[in-house]
Amino acid sequence: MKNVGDILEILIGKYLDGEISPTEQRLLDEALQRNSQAKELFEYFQDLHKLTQESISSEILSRGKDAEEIFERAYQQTRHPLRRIAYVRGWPRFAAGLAAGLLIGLVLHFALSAQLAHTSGEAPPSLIAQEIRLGEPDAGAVIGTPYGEPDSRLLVPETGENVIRNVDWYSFTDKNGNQWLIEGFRENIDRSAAYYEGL
Amino acid sequence: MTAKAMQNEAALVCAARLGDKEALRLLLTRNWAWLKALVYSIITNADDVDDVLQDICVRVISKINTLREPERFRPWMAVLARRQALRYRQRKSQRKVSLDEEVAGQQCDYKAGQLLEKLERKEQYQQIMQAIKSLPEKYRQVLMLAYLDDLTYGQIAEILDVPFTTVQIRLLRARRMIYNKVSRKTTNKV
Repeated sequence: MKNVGDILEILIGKYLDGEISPTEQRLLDEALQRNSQAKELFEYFQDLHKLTQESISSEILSRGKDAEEIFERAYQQTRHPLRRIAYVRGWPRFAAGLAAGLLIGLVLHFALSAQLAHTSGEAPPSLIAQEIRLGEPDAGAVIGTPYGEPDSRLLVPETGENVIRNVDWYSFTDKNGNQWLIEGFRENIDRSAAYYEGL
Repeated sequence: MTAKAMQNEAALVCAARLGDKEALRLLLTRNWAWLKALVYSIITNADDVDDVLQDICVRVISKINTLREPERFRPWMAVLARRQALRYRQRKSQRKVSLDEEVAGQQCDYKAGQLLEKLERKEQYQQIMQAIKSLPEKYRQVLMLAYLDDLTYGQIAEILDVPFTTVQIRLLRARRMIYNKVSRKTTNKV
């Protein structure tokens, strides 16, 4: 059972918080009239209540930014597309991560392949090997009779330069019967680029 | 909170869920004072309150569509705010303070203390704020909500999701503890 002091404190608390009912108010008034100690306690709690209110207000309410300002900043933050992605959770996030990883992998793969092709394209191993292969119908025309007339062709280098070169090819059969194809520039000059359809 | 006000708030929540910025703004600014009180009661540092409040706003804006019962917006937001404030407090306590910062902080406090000594009222405020900060968290929460936003017992009970009588008892005990600390009394009542 609560003692008189506890009940008095409850009544004072309710009075200070504006939660006291008319019956409780009557009880409190009677206690304050009867007991001088109760009145003293009541006055002390009243002062404390006022002081607490003031200190809390000065500590918190008077400081800090305006609510509208903070809300606006927060709203702008949530509207940022990257921020919205960051809030995706679970499977969609996992799937998005996987897709992004694959995409990055593919891009890297193609970029590196292109880089390698570019660097190797600067010095092609052999134009002849690329353009002419023995056994092809075209090859017969190239490979003429031993010590025959040289066959002249225009070759476009793969270096990306806008020049074409006149090249003479000779076929040669040694004593053992091996066939050799010899390449040589007919003249030591470069001409400006020209487009030859079907070359 | 009256039934009409509650209905209004629920309607605002519904609008906010559909992305209405004005509804979101009203929801947050109308509940600002107690939100601030709640955050302060957890982190007990007025300088950091705004940062936490901004984080809470971001969470509320991005999570409002997950709120199933619009009429329970306040307790929902209180849980969110509490979680965010606790996270902030934990982060803050983990952060190491360098010796220079610590010494500088002490010097500032010392200077501030010298100024405050001249103002009796300010000193009393400090004394009371110290007493409030020393309260256990559950008592401090109720006290801050009651004093900062003039909320009724019913409203505090709704926000903290505790029974009405719990609020009443916690408030009574919080007052008693402050009384004991300020008047330097040591009773075994609490």
